[in-house]
Amino acid sequence: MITDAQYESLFAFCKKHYVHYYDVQVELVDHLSEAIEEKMKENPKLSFEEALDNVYAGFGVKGFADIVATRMEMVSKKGRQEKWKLFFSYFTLPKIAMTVCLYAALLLMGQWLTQDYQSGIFLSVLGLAVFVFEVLYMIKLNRLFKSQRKPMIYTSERFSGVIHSGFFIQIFFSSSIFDYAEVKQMSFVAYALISLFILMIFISILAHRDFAKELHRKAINQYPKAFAS
Amino acid sequence: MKKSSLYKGCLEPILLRLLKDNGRMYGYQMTQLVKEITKGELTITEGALYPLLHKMEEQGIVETETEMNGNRMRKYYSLTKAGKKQTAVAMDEMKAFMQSLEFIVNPKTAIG
Repeated sequence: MITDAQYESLFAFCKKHYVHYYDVQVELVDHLSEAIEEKMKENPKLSFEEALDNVYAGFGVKGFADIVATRMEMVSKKGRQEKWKLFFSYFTLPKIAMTVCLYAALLLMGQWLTQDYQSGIFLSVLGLAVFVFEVLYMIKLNRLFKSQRKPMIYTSERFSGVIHSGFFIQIFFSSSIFDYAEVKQMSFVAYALISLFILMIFISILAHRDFAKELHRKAINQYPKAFAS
Repeated sequence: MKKSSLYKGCLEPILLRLLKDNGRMYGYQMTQLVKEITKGELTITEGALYPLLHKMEEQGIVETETEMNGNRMRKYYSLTKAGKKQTAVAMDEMKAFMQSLEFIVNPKTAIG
């Protein structure tokens, strides 16, 4: 049986071999400690360090590199899938009711805003409000994960959103849909498209919020020691 | 030819079978059980095992849970509902593959 100090030293060993993520370290340390104990049981003359070298050699020339790379790729892929699933949940029952109501309200507003520049000003304010909401939400998200003490691949997906709003805005306003000459008297079709676009960004923020909350709950449940109590 | 290259491609069905028979398992336990069952003939390398387990987790075939044992933490894998279905399919494919190999390795038996 290896001592607690030897067990803890295996975390440092993982870090030394470029495994900086706690969720991967936990699995590797468990594997290494079990294998070392087995080796030392088979050959009691073997020291802890010798047994460790022996076990590490079994991971091949690449060491832990492939394990970390695959874990990163898989967590990212799964995270993307889950985020899109949550995004599309706003277009299926029951959440679609909220989406339809919001869009209907925006369209009604567009019908009501008939004076020069009114539609343009309203959309700009709406866009700005969504942007402020996103900033405030990101601050809240950072607070949620503030108690995380150790870096993990598992929670790394919380940083990326469903739709990269900045990139989307750039494409949108450089496209022919947004005609700057029309701002004074914006056509209803242009208004409907721009408001739909803003609504999509808002929904992507909501989907990201749902994802982050669930991720935080699962992470605390699976890796309690990574969080400050 | 190295024996390990013959087993390539069969690792996933092997892991599925192990999880089906044993419920939940952790990585090291899987390597040891395979070694024990095959009397040391088959060794699963860590470099192949963990990337595959992580891939299976992403595909929703397996799910994980961690458990504290004193100061030590252990990650267990178990089959999901989809994983159980996948195991049945993988076992059928494996049997068909073994039969095809038998036709090639031992054509007389196959004809008879």
